[in-house]
Amino acid sequence: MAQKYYDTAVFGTTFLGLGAALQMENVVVIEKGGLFGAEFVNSYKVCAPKIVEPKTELGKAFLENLQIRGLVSDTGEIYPAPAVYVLSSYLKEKSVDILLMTEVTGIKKVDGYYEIVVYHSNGFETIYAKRILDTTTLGIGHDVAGKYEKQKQLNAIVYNPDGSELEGISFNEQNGLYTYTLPVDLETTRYDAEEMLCGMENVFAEKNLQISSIASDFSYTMKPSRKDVEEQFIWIPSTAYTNLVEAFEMGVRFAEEERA
Amino acid sequence: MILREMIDGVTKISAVEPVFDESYDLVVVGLGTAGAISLITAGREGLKVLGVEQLYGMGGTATLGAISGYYFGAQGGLYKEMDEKERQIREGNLFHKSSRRETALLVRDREARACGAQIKYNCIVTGVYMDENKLLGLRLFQNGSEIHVKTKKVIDATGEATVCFIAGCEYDFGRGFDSQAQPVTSSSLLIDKNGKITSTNKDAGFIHQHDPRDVSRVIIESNNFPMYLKEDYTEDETKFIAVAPLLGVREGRLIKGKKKLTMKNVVSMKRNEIEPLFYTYCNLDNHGKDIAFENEDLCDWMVASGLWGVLMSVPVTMEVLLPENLENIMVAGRCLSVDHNVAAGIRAQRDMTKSGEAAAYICSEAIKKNISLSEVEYDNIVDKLKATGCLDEANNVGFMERIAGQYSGYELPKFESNADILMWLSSEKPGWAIWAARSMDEKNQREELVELLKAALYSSNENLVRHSALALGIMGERSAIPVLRKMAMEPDNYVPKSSLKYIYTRGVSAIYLLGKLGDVDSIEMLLDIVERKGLTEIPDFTFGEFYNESTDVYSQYVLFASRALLEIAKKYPEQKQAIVEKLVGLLDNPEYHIMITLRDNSASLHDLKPKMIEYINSMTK
Repeated sequence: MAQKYYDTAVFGTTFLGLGAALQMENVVVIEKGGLFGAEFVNSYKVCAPKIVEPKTELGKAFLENLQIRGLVSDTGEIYPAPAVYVLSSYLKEKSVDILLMTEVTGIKKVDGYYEIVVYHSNGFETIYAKRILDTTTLGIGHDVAGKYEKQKQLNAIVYNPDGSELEGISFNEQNGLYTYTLPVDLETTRYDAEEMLCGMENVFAEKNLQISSIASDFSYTMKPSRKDVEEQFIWIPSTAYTNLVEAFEMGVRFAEEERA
Repeated sequence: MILREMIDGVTKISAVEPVFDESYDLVVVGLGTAGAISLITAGREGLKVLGVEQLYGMGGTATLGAISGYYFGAQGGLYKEMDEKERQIREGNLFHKSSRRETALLVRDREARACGAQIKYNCIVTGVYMDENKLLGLRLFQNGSEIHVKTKKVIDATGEATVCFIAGCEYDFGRGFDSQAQPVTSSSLLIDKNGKITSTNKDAGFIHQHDPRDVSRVIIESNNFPMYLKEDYTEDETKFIAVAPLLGVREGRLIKGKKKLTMKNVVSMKRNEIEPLFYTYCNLDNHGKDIAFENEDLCDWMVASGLWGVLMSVPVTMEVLLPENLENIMVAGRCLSVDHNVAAGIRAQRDMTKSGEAAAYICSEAIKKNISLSEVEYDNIVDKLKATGCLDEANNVGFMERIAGQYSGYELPKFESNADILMWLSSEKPGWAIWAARSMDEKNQREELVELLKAALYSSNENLVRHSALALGIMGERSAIPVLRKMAMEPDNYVPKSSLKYIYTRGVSAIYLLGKLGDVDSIEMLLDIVERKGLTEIPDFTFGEFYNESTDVYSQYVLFASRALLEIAKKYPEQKQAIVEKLVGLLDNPEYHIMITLRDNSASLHDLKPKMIEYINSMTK
C-alpha cells in the first residue's frame, strides 16, 4: 500500500478537530470511536449559555447556521445534538480524510515527519504527518494531558416533570431538557459511575426524577489550553471550551494561524 | 510460536516468544449481542473468562446501536433472564420505562461481574499467537499499551470474524458479483417531553465496513439526510440527544466453517437428522432494493415467488460455529458459516444471543475435558442448551407465513397433490405454490404438474393463468413465455399477497423469468423497458416501506430487464454484443439514471447506474 503523507494529522473527530480540519489542506483526522463531536454531544456535557463571537468566517458561518435552525439562542444556549448534523454538512461539502474506529498505536519522529501507526479493521496502517494536532481529552501518545488538571463527570438526561431542583441538575432552555451531572474521580470507570448513579435512587425518587438516558462517555471540565507536546505536536483539548461553537471556532482559528 | 497480524490488509507472520501478561480459560472478543451472553454464560460455567470490547459497553445493537425491541428471533435462552432483570429495574423508580439501553447495559455488566468475568473495554485485538493452526493467545491494545494474553479458547463475537480473519480463516463476504453486503443503519436517540426515549432506524446506505474512510463517508451522508439535518428544529416534539455510537451493520464476514449452511441446505434439509444447538426464526431479511444483482436462489425466492416475508426456523449446528482449519477458536454472532442468503435470516437479536450461549457451553465442555472444540460431544451440552430454552423443539416450525403485527405466523400450505398447487396458484397467494413447483424433484409428479400448468395457461381465471406462467417459468419451462411476455409488456403491476412486504409486482417477476428462460424474442421488449418506454404513473398502487414512489417501482423493472438481457446475452453469445452496446449506450447518457430509495427512507435517493455498469462488466467478461 502506498504510504500516506499529510501536512497535519488531527486526533479526535471533536468540534475543535473538525473545525481545524475543515480549514486545512492535506489533513487526516483519526478517531478511536465512530462519532463526531462526542465530547459535547454524546457526553451530554452541560454548557452554560455563553455568547460566542467567532472571528473566523467559517466560525461565523457555523454559528449562523446553528442559529437559523433554532439550535443556538440569543443568550448563547445550545441544543447540541443536531449540531453534529450541521457539522456533517460541512464535511460533506469539503471532503476530509477521516478514519473512524481507528486507534493510534504508536508515534515516532522519522525524517521530519511524525510516523503514526494506527490500527483499524484492515489492520495496521502507517501515516506520516508533519504536524499533529491532538484534540482529545486524555491525550494520545503523550503524558501532557495526564498531568493537566481536569474534573470528570457522568451526565444523565433526566425526566423532571415537576421541575424539581437538586444539586447537580441543570436545565437547557434551548432543548428543554434536564441533565443531572455526577462528579466522579478521574479513575472511576463507567460501570462504577453508573452504579453511583443507581445509588441516587432514593434521592431521585423524592424529587420525582427519573433517568431517561445516561451519556456514552464521561464529560470533562478543564481550563482551555494549548500545550506543545513536542515541536509540531500540539495538544488542544476540545472539551476544555465552554461550548461546541467556541471549540469549533478555536479549531478554525488554529488552522488559520498555522497557515499564516 | 508465531504472531499473526494484519498490516495494510496483508497478513504478516513473525516467529515470537511472547511473555504473557495474563492467562485465561476463555477470551470472548466482542461483547455485542452474542458476545455479552457468551461472557456471562462462560462465567457462570466457572471459567476464568475475559471479555474484550472495542467500545464502552456490552450489548451491541440493542445498547450502543440504540435498536431496542426485537425483530422476530426464536424464543428462549439466557437473554430472557436478562430481559426480565432489565424489566424489573425499569419497574422501579430510578429509570424511565423507556430506558432499555441503560438497563440492558447495566444488567449485562452486573451479571458479568457477578460471575467473575473480567472485562476490558476500549480494547482491541491487534494480533493472534498461534502454533500452526492452534490459537494460543491474543495481543491486545488498550490505553496506549499492549497486553499479551494467553488463552485456551477464544470466542470471536466481533461480528466481523476479526480474530478469525487475523488467524487466517477463510471467509465469504457479501453477495457474489460485487461482494456488497446489506445496507447499514444509522440510528439517533431522541427524547419526548415525557422523558420517553426513542430511536430512529433508517437504512443509511451501503458500506465497505473494513475501510474506515468508507465508514466515515456513510456516517457523513447519513447525517445529511433531511430527517436529521433539518431547516428548523424549534417545533420538534421530540428532541435529538445523540447519535448512536455503533453503526448498524447487518452483514459481516461469514467464516468458512466445518460446514457451510446454505439456502439450498435450509430449504431441503431433513430436520430430524440434525443435532441443532438452537433454531433461528426470521425471514430472509435482506434490506437491499437491488436484488436484481443477487444470486438466482434468492431471486427465485424473493422475486419469482414473492416470499420475502416468509418466516423460517433454521437449525444451527456446531460445525457452523467452528472455523474450518483453526483450533481453539469459534465464532458467535452474525459471522457464522452460512451463505449470504441465510445470513439475512439468522441475525435477529434473539437468535444471535443463542449463538453466544451455545458457543460458551461448547467452550466450557472443551476446556473442562481438555479436548478440542470439534471433539465436544453434542450429548454433553444438549441438556444445558435445553435448560435455558436456548434449544427448544417448539421453535422448530419450518416455514411460516407472516401475519401483520404478530410474532407467530400461519403454517404454510402443504401440497398433498398437484391439484393443491393449482388451487393456490388460483389465489392471491401463489408464492408458496410457485416455490413448491420449483422444488419438485419427483419425476412423475413433476411431469404431471407441468402438463397441468400448461393447460392452466388457458384458464378463465386470470390469477391461475399468470401464476401458472410464473410456476412454469421458475421450473425452466419455455411454455410460460407468451404469458410472461404479456405480463412484462402491460406491465402487470399487481402485487400478490404471498407474504408481507417487499413483494415484487408480477410484471417484474415475469421479466426476471424471461431472463432465466433466455427468451431471445423478448430482447426488444426488454430494451424498451430499460429505456423506460411506457412506464408511467401507477394508479392505485400501495406505496410504503419498500416502494416509496412510482420511480422506485419502475426502477425495479429497469433493473430486472437489464438483468434479463444480460442473462440472455450469456446464453446466446451472438446476441451479446448488440445487447451490451444498447445497454452501455443508454448508461452513457448523462441524463439516464436508475434511482431507488433505501428501504423506509424516501430521502435516500441514489443512483444505481454505476452499479449497473459494474454488473454489465462482470456479466460480460
